[in-house]
Formats: sequence, structure tokens, C-alpha cells
Amino acid sequence: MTRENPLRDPSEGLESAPPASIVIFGASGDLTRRKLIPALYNLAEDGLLSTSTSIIGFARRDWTDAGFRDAMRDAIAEFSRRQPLDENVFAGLAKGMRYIQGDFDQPDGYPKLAQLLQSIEKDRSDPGVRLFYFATPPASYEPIVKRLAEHRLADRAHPAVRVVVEKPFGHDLESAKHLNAVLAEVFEESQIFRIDHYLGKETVQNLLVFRLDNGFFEPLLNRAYVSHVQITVAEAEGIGTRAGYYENAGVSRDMLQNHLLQLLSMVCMEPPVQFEAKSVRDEKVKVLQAIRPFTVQEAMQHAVRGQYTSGIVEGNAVPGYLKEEGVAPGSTTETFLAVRFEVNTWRWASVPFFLRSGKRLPKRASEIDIVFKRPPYELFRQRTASRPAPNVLRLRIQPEERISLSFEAKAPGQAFHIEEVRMDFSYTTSFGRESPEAYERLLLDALHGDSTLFSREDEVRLSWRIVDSLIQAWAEAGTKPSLYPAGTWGPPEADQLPGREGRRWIAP
Amino acid sequence: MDRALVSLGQTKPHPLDLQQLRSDLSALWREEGKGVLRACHATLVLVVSPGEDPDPLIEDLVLTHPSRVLCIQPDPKLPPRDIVSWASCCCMKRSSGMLVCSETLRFVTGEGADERLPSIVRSLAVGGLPLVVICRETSPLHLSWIDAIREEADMIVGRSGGLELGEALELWRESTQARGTRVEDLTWDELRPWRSVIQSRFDRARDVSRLSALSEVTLEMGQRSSIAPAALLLAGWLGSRLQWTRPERLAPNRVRVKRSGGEILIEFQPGLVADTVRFGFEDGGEPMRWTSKELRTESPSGPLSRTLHRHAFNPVAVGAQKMALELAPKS
Repeated sequence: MTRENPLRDPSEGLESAPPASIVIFGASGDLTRRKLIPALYNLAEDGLLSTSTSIIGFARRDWTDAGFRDAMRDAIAEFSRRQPLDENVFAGLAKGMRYIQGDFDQPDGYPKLAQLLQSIEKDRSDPGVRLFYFATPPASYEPIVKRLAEHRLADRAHPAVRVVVEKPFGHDLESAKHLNAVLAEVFEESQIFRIDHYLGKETVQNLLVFRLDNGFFEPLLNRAYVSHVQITVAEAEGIGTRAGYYENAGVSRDMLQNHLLQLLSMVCMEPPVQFEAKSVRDEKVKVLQAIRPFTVQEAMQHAVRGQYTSGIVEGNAVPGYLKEEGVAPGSTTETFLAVRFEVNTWRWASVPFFLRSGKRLPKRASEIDIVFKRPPYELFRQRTASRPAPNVLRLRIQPEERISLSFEAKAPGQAFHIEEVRMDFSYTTSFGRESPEAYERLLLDALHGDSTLFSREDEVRLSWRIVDSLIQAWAEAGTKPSLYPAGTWGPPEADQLPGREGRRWIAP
Repeated sequence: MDRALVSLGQTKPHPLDLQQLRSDLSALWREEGKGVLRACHATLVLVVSPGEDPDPLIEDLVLTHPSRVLCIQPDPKLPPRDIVSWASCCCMKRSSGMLVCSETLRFVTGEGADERLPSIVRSLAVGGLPLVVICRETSPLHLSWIDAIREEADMIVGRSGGLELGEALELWRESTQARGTRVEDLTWDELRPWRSVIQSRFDRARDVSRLSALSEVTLEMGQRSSIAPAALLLAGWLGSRLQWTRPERLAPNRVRVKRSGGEILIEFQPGLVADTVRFGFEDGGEPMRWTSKELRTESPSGPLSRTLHRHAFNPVAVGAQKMALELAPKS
């Protein structure tokens, strides 16, 4: 018979997560090293992890508990946003670190895992949360889920047993449905946390606060006042060592299916009745339902895909995509995508949404630009030579998180010059220290069981439906990606997407 | 790097002249030129004790709360009613190279200069930003000039841990009132490492059941012979969470309370070597003990930062303060 700890108080909000056993499958991989362990360390440094937190690494590498701890110590020293490493904080975290060597699809490691979890949880006032984190290639998800079920490590009867699944969630609609079915055999939907780290970023979370907790913008965010919306997720990097994954994914699966469509949903969704997971996700789903899949003709007209050739990015010469290590000769994988969507709801009907993302673009930048309509009558046009600019509400997500609003103002002086000026909100100037990493927020939410910032099964399915329609249209049309030199904003055809409507991309 | 602080310099101290002070401040900005953003979190009015060096706290504080800081420090050596002031700018350097600059305006005040302070604060507070008064060593409720700007302030932060017991009780009474300007007790946030270490112990199955056999709580905190307010507040937290009732005073530093199925004797003592909390149990098992040496260390502004970021009354803190008031000596 267990009893809850009366001194632990949930009303203190994020004061600290409940006791937890976090099992990381793929513990020797890059994601664990670069993101997960540094995020857990930062949560511990902020006092947000219970001292009864165990981190159990599970991977093929031949490590001991001590070897795992040493490797994780190095990872924190290299990748944590907080430096130098605090030995006391690390010692507290390392105390709960254990390692199990095992193949994901072989039964050997799982009995040891079961035994270890049992002994850890027996020692707690309540067993706490059991969080399985799949930091593995997607092909391993299914065998892991099956082994967890076989060894009774997970079942739908215990809500505190949860699974976190990394993107990509499936390769297309069919594989996503299959993966959902595999997970649904063992877990309830409320136990499944499909992570999209973009949703853990402060500006993305703030998007809802900005829209729904301020009286003056929300009434303007609709077809009556908004001319169009642009969403850019640009990367200066190439594919690095990820050719194996990227060749099969391309930017459509890597970015559009998750980050871009998630951002679009957050911009377009109606106010939820409550700020809790179901209500928020219900509204996001309605947005995805309101986007029609593309026909071949529409895809040719409203989407542009590209592939980078050699060029210069941030001052350095870089090779073209086809020269990257591991890329097949003659590959037609797209590294750039620009697409025009319409969201067919009362609020947004006929407002174009231009989305673009790509690799080897001039800079790393992600932002949402909401461009407002010009006033109905240009009162000052006769008095000024300046080009009238629309008001733009710009939500910058990375590299720095900020919100700015541009508007027109009379420049000082006798002449009647009108110039564009900006009002800026920066997290830096208003809130000081840098925002926590997205993974910190999302891990903490998963430990608390709050799935608001995670994708639901139907969101994933609906976004694949849209992306699949594009990919199938390209296949049917037999077209190839247009080429663009690395360090530019994609192929020239991308400029024509807004250009045909007298609009242009806003440089991030 | 969080701690990359860049100073834009400091002007010379001179007798109070706000116009001069503003031009000094502008000069500091002009000298730096481009690439500097003005901090805009709040106006923080920081009251410090005579002789205290406030710079380490201010530098640490503006990293989390880039703000205009008005630092007010009494100096008994100054002629009565005199105020000497100067300006400085302290910037944090972001990874992009951009500087975010927090202005600090220092005021050293002679005896009887208090009545000049409200007008200074009103004049220099940045319009449209929250105004927070922070008083760490004296009671904010006993400074008449703070009372004069109370309605304009968004929050008044006191620190019961630095006060006499009677003043601490007053602070908690104010703090538990859910009306008017919010009054917060910084000591609540300073005690967080204590709460965390004690609470974590009872995450273990074999320990949580022992709470129903708790019979003695000894809090050795502070150097004074009287009850340390921090100890009383920590006891208040335990009592409110564990639902203690009917406190009965046995001696100035000893209280007996009822718990479900038994009684608990609470004793307050000075912490001679280190602050210590002990739990005794009537189950015959080992007592438990925590000392300040095993607590997580925090940056100088860590607790203050949490207080400033809290935007509503904290029901747990209020519960602890109410229980602390019940456990406190009545005289």
C-alpha cells in the first residue's frame, strides 16, 4: 500500500516534477548527448526534477553504469546552456543514472530493465512516473513497443507510464497509421507524447498568450484585416551526416509535416474553451481539417521544391546536395520547399499562407510574419515618395525570440516622408536570462503528464494527408526539384508564389 | 554566457540633481553608441543597508530582470536631508553580441531625507513598467516613504528572515491579505532549498508512512536567541502541509500541536554551527536530520528572481504564513 507524499504540492506549479524513472532508448546517440541529458541537467539545476529521478540508458554500446555517467557528464559539459558544469548538481543526477546494454529488438535487455525499474520504484512512496523515451531511429519504435508489452513494462492501465516518440512519426500517412496502431496496442493516447521540439520554444508557446491574452490583436487576426501570412523555417546548415535519413525524407517530411504545419495550426486555431491538452489540440485539428489536400494541378501551381547546388553560406564555400556524403547520384530529394496554403474557415478563407523551409539558405531563422492589409484609402500617397508598407506583426522564433510590429510613421523634418518603424518585444530585454531549451519544457511537461504541447494521433494523420498529397502529385507529374545555389533563398520560382499576387517574401 | 556583464561606466557622485542625473545617464548611452538595448522588465527600487555593497546583487539581479534599478542606501555620515546620487549602466552581452543594458541610479541618503524619496521614485520610474520595491534588511512596512508610494507600486518585497520576529509577523499579516498592493516575503523563496530537500526525503515509500508517527520537530536556525522568522515560516509550511492543529505554547520556544492520531512537539533553537532541522518519530526508528550544508546553493538573486516572477498570491506560501502566525508567540 503506497501513500502520496503530503509535502509534495502540485499547486506550486513547476516547482518540481514527480519522482520518475526515465528510460532512454538510444542512450548512446546524438539526441541523448546533445539535447536530452543537458535538458535534464538544466532541470535539475533549476530544482525542477525530483531527487528521486532515475535515468536509465538503454543502448547497444558496451557501457557500464560508470561509463554511461562519464559519457553523460562530458555531454553536459559540452552541450548544456549552463556552463561550467555544477559538480553538486551533476552528482545528484548521476546518483540515479543506470545503464543497460541491449538490442532494441532482442529480448535480452528487457528483463534486466524490468528488474531495475521494479527495484527503483519499490523504494518510492509512490512508484512515480515511468517515461520511455524513444531517441532511436524510427525503425526501432515498433520492436521496442512490442518488447515493452511482452515484458509487462508498459500497459494502458497505468497513466503514469508514458512514452515519448521523436519525429519523424512515420514516413507517410500509411506508416504513421501503422505506427499509431502499434502504439495503441500498448498505450492509451493520453500516454503517448509525440514530440515536436518547436512547440517547446517560448515564442511558439507565447503565440497563444499573445493572441488570446491580449485584447487588441485577436480581433484583427482574420480575413478582414490580414492580407497574408508567411512562415519561414530556414537553416544555413546542410544535411551533415544525416544523408541516410534525409534522402528518404526531404524537407517535406522533415519540416512541413511537423514544424511548419504545427506553427500554421497555432496561428490559425480558434480560441480553445480551456487551456488544456484536449481543447487546444481539438482546435489545432480543425485547422488541419480545413486545409484541402493538393491535386496534381494545384501542387504544380502552389508548391515549389528545390535542391541546393554548391555556393557560399555565411562566408564559406559549401558543396551542392549531390556532392554530400551518402547522397545518391542523381537524387531528386528536395532540400527546399515553398508552398501556398489556404485555410478554409470563416476566419481565414481566402487569406494565403506562404510557408517555406530549406537547407543551405542564407541564415538560420524561423519566423511567422502576419502581414496586414493596407488602409482602404491611401491618404498620404500624394504627399510622399515613400513606398507604402503594410503593417507586419513578426514573431521571431529563432535564433532569438522576439515579437515586433512594424508600422508607418512620419519622419521628423519639414518634408512629408513616411518611414517604416518597429516596436519590438524581445525576451532578452524583458525577461533577462536566455529561455530554457525547448526540450527542458517538453520533458518537464511529459513528466507532469501535460500533453498540450505534443501532437495527437489525428494531428499527425491529418498533416500526413496534406504532405502525402504533395509528394504524390510530384511523383505523378514526374517533375524534379529546381536548383538553387547554396546561400540563396531557394529557386527563383519560389519568389513567384507570392509574386503572382503582388506580394513578396519578407527577409527574416 | 549568462554572466557576460559589460559595464558602460559610472558617473561621478554629486548632490541630488535629477536633471544632471538624466544627462549623465544619456552620456553613458551616447558613449556606447550602437548595439545596445535598454532593459525593460521593471523599475526595481532596492533598499540596502548602510555599508552594504549592493553591486553583486544588482549585477546578478539584472541578468534575470533587465530593469532600471533605483538603489537607495542610508548613510548616517551624510548631513541631514542630503542625498548624493550617481548613475551607472551594467549590460549583459548576449550570444549575438547585442548588449542589454540595465541602468542603475544610486542614491545615498542622509538622515531625514526620506521625505524626498517618493518624488524621486515617481520621477525616475519607467512609465508603463511594473514598479517593485525590495527591502531586504528593514521592514518595508516601517518606512514612511514606501508607504507614500504604496499605491503606485505593483509589489512590495520584504524579507522576514532579516527582521525582528514582531516585524516578520506584521509582514506575514500583510502578505496574506489578498487585496491592495501585493506584499511578498523573500524568505519564502529563500527557504525553497529547505522545502525541496525535506520534501524529497518523503518520496521514499519507507519514509512517507513515518510522517504519521512524527512526534518532534526541532528547527535550529539563525544566531539569535529568539525564534528565527525563517524557522517559524518553515515550521508553518510543514504545519500547513501536514495539517497540524490547535497549537499550544509550552515555553517561548516550544509549541505542541495536534496531528492526526497524536501530538508533535516543535522546538526552535539557534543554529550554532549550521542551520539544522530534525524530525523525531514515536515509532522508535531513526530520527531524520537535514543541515544547511547539504542544501543546493543558489545565485544571490535566485530567490528574489522567483519572487519577482510570481504574478499571483501563492496559496502554499500563504498557507505557510498563516500557520506561522498561529505557531508564533502571541506577545
